[in-house]
Amino acid sequence: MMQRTLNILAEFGESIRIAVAAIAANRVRSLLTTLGVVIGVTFVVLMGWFLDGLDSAWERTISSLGYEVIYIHKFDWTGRTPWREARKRPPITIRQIRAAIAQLTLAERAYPRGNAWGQTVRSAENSISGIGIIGTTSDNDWEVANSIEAGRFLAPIEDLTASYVAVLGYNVWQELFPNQNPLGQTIFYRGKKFRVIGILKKRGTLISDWGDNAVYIPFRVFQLLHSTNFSNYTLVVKAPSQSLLPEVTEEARMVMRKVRNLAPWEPDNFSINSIDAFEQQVRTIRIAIWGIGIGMTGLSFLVGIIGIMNIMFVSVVERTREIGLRKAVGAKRRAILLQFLIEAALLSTAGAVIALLLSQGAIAGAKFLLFPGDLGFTASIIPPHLMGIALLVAVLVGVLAGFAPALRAARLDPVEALRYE
Amino acid sequence: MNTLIHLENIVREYQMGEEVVRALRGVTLSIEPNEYVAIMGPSGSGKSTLMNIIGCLDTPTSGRYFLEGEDVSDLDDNELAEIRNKKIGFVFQTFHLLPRYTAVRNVELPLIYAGVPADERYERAVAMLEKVGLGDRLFHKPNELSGGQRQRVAIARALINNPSLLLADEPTGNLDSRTGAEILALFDELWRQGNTIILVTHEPHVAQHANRIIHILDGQIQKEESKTSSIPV
Repeated sequence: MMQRTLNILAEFGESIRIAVAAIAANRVRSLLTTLGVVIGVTFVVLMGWFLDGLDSAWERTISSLGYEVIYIHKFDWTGRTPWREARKRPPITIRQIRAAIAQLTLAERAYPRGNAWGQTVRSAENSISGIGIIGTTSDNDWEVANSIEAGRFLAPIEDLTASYVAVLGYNVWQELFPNQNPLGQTIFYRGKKFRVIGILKKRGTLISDWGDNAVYIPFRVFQLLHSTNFSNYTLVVKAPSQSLLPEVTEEARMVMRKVRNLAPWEPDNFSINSIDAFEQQVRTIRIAIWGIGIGMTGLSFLVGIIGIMNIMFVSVVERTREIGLRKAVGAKRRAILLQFLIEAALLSTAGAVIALLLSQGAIAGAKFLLFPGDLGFTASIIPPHLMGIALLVAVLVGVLAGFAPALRAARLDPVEALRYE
Repeated sequence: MNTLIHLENIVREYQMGEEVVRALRGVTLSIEPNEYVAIMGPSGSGKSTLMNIIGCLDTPTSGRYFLEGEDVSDLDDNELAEIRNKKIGFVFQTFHLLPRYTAVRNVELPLIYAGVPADERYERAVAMLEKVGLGDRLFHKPNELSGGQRQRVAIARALINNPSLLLADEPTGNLDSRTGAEILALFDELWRQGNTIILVTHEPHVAQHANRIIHILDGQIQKEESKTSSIPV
């Protein structure tokens, strides 16, 4: 047993030395051979990095919607009810929202929200357009709980008294008050003056930065500034926990049907939007990206395997006499098999190392050029788990590619091999 | 004394397309330890086949081969490799050194497959190279050595694992006559130190070094000559 272990150790060491020498002796050939592996591993790493970034960007983006929150709105955010159809629905009025809020029993909180997109706001010196004005109450504070840079969110009294105060998203205060403290300053919207009471940290990601281009004002003020037939009101309902969301949702649906006087046979004429709907969509997109990625990766690994297998067959033929000699002096089949398997695995691993260097460069470049400061794509080095996967796959590819040539080498007849010219 | 090699009616046939070639047609032969034997014969006589079987590189079609009392006629590839590693040292006409390896690494090779640790391998290889007179060429690669020096490296490699038998196939075939004579003198010396040597050759003056000459013709032993001692150069 001991002797057997020693044998395998000695053979292993010898195999690695042989492999390094053989690869070093044919540098250009080896490099070209590993091209498939290089491309394959680069694909895997870059795709993994991109999806990781996309995931975390997505997570950050939708987490501001709240996992235990539903948004009852005329339109369906994910398009399950076509816009063309949803357009015909009667608007959700403030009266309906107030009536619904009074009837809900299971919700932790329920409050109205109005969104006006594409608005322009100004300060004394600057202006910014394409802004979302969000009219809401102090109940909406959970959304920005961790994002207050300075000041505070809307207070209950400010909604009740319709105070002209505003909380600014990151981009808005950066544009309107560069190098100034915005707190206590005045902004102008629809001809009215608003006092800035709070500013928010950067929240946006590659996917969406609406949160950074938003201005929060009290709901009653929003109501005063927009026409009575404004149809974009939302009822926000927050469940005590995510697990209670289904019951809360069901109650909200019933209450909404009641306040909108729907007969039992009529379908809902409103949409209940939640993170869940978005997540299902994203899951589909993710699967599609993975599918394409795995297909391309698989293809390049196939090329890699064929390349390495081919060169290993050539190598076996070139070294037939060496194999014969090694067998003559006592190398067993196992030793020869190991020798060529290790050479193939090392070749493939060398390819993976090149690929990791390339990917690292690409990731650092992408991080610097495409997503500087993005809150989703935070990793500027290859995540360790991807590095591990890449090396593991490379060894696997090498062993797979090397097996047939190695087996041929191991089975060579020593007499024939020694005589080979 | 135990018989080192005992061959009993060894037959070796090859399938060459449709035809069956009988390279050996029933060879019976015994060799004792510390004999110095030459196997002679023209090309195609079957002497190479006989050498391959004695060297455990090949197995007979029929007949039995006992090496140090052990029946090795039916062993598989891996078992034969182990026998070759432990009991047989080969010296080839074309040296068969690994070109990218230094003399020391070439000599170490059989010890790697015997599982000898690296330090010990190195020490033994150096000692063996000194023994064959190459103490000052340890780290030369084969293309930096003369023909005679290469064959000395090969002999050191053959001896490194203390084999029971040194098997040399035309060891002077690729050397000029003066270098050839030096190599043969080295064999004589090794024989005097107690090694068993089998030389395969077609040159009578090489065979004269042995104390027993076996002539092979058409796959059979044609005749044997015996001498009380070998002829020193």
